[in-house]
Amino acid sequence: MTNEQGVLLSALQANYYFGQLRVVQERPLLVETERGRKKIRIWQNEALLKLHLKWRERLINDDFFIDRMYVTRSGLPSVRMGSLSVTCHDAPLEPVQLDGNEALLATALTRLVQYSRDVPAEEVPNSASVRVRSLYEQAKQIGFQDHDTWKMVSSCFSSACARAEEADRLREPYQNRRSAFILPEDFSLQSCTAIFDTLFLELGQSRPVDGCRLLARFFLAESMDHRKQSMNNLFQALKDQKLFDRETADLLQAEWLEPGEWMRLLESGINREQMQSDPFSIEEFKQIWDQKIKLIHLFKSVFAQSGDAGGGAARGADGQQSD
Amino acid sequence: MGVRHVEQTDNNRINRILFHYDLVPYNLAVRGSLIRVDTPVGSFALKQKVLNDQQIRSLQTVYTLTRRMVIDAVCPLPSKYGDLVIRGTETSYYLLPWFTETVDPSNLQERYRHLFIKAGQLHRKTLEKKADSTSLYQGMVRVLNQRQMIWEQFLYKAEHHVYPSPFEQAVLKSAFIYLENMQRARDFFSHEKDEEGKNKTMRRALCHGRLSPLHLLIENERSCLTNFENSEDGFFVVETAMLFEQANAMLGSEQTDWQGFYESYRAACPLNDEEKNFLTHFLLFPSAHAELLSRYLYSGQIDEQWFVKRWIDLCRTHMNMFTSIKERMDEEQKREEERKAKEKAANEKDEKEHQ
Repeated sequence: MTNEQGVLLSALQANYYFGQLRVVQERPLLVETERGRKKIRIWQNEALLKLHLKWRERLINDDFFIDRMYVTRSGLPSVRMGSLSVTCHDAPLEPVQLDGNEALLATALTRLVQYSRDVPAEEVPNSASVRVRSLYEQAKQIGFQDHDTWKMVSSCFSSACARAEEADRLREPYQNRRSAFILPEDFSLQSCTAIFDTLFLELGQSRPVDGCRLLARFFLAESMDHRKQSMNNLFQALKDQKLFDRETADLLQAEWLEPGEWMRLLESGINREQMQSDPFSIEEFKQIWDQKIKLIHLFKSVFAQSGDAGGGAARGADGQQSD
Repeated sequence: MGVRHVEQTDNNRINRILFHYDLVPYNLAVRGSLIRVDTPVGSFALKQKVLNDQQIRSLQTVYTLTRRMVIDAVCPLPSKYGDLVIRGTETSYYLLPWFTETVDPSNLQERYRHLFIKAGQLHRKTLEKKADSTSLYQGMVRVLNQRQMIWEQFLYKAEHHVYPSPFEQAVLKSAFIYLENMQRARDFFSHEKDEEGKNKTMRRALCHGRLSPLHLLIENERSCLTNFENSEDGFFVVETAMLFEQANAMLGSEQTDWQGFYESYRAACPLNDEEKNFLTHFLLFPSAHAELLSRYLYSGQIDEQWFVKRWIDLCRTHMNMFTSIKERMDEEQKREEERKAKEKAANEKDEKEHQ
């Protein structure tokens, strides 16, 4: 045990009601106590800590648990150690799979969409269609040596443009929002565990970012790993909650429509010319491109039944398959 | 009291609540409105209740006062996240330390004895400055009007019967006393200004809001008030007066040491002259009597014998309570006057010696 760790452990023991403490993992720091396993977080940014405290306050509910801060003996949510702050959280171990837990996840996601909101943290990205076109022009000027990649990029260009335009159209009404759905930057299914048949959501300590973008990536990643039925169940459960509003539906579709994988393939081709390695194979591109189209179809088939799917990606979603 | 083991289906719900306290129970049992939770670190009482924001704030106020040792109360224990109440969509939960009560809930005499002491202590320890009591006096007149209206309805009906029922006869017999008492009370509460023409003022304190022999936990010599969710600042003499009124109705025909109750309260929280006057005038128009008349007026099936017996019991205990308290107040007054006379005489003697 390092000296710093010893100081930290005695500070934890002095400030929380723990009798025994034993380190079981260094990063992230997990300690075993007589009251179960706890996660210790160290905060260098006091403003971020305050933001996370308020964030958790807004999310308190009785459908799922949040990794709230334990209060110290004097009732404070953190321990001050010099310029750092230390917080203590629960650390349940039981992992959560999407299969079979669709309803639980849908409840949690619906609440997040409703209450995990703040002033948009990031700057509004440039129009997707402008980026698509400028990248394509840039690539034409540089000249592509990799014939196969260029063939794929150019054959998908018109679809990429259509998808980008549709994404821009869907995002347009929400450009000047005062409140946006936010999620921690590292949000994934790994952020979820279970205890007493209840979901335990870890908000962690990452900065908040655009929630729709992360959620769209989350759905995409899960849809690639799980059978279609499971995603269908999740979307159906979300629809049953009736809280997945038009804004979220539009922005999610915009994320899937934005041809990020096409831009990545193109950039990867340009960079390869410049001897930089960012391997992104045509296979990977095709997989994502096709999966996104399937996902939009699935999303629309579930949500559009009663006209809930928002602005409807009538043109873009029907973009041709890569092969 | 019946003990039921918590069903398996309830267990996860309870465990989820106990997770907020890092408690792992080895036994759960339903005890009345509580769930007894036995854990390796001790026993607790888990309470489920619908609470609004105001009630939660009241619990927090009392928790702070208890933590600062201002008052002695059984408050919810804070969760590991610092919450006093675990809020659900419909109901909320809170956890209390488990009290092994040594006085049975049916032993009302003993419970009221403790209750008068604890009420006095609560009021005394949280005493605040005097405040304008005009609205309080006006409120009392309104309450009096409501009760008097019931009396008038009853008497009007009874007097128009050629043959009044046995209960009506019993009430008619004692009516003049109560009507006169109500008039005395009205005279008192209609005067919101003091002799100098200024608005009367009275002392405020934290009031429990729902004082009852069941909202008190007694373990041997220690007793503590609990269930503070309806507590708020107020003119505490109203709570004291209502406690006497409630005890009067609850204890019924039992032999009761009213002077002892009054003395217990007074020892913890001495009342000033205005408060004593308030108390005695409030007790002149008891709610239990008006409620019984109203019940007789509006209930379909009437057990005359029961009503007559209840009326006689109420009148007897009320008279007993009122005269006992008044007697004790008069004694106090006399002693005070004697003390003042003695002081005056001693002062005069001193002055003469100096001359």
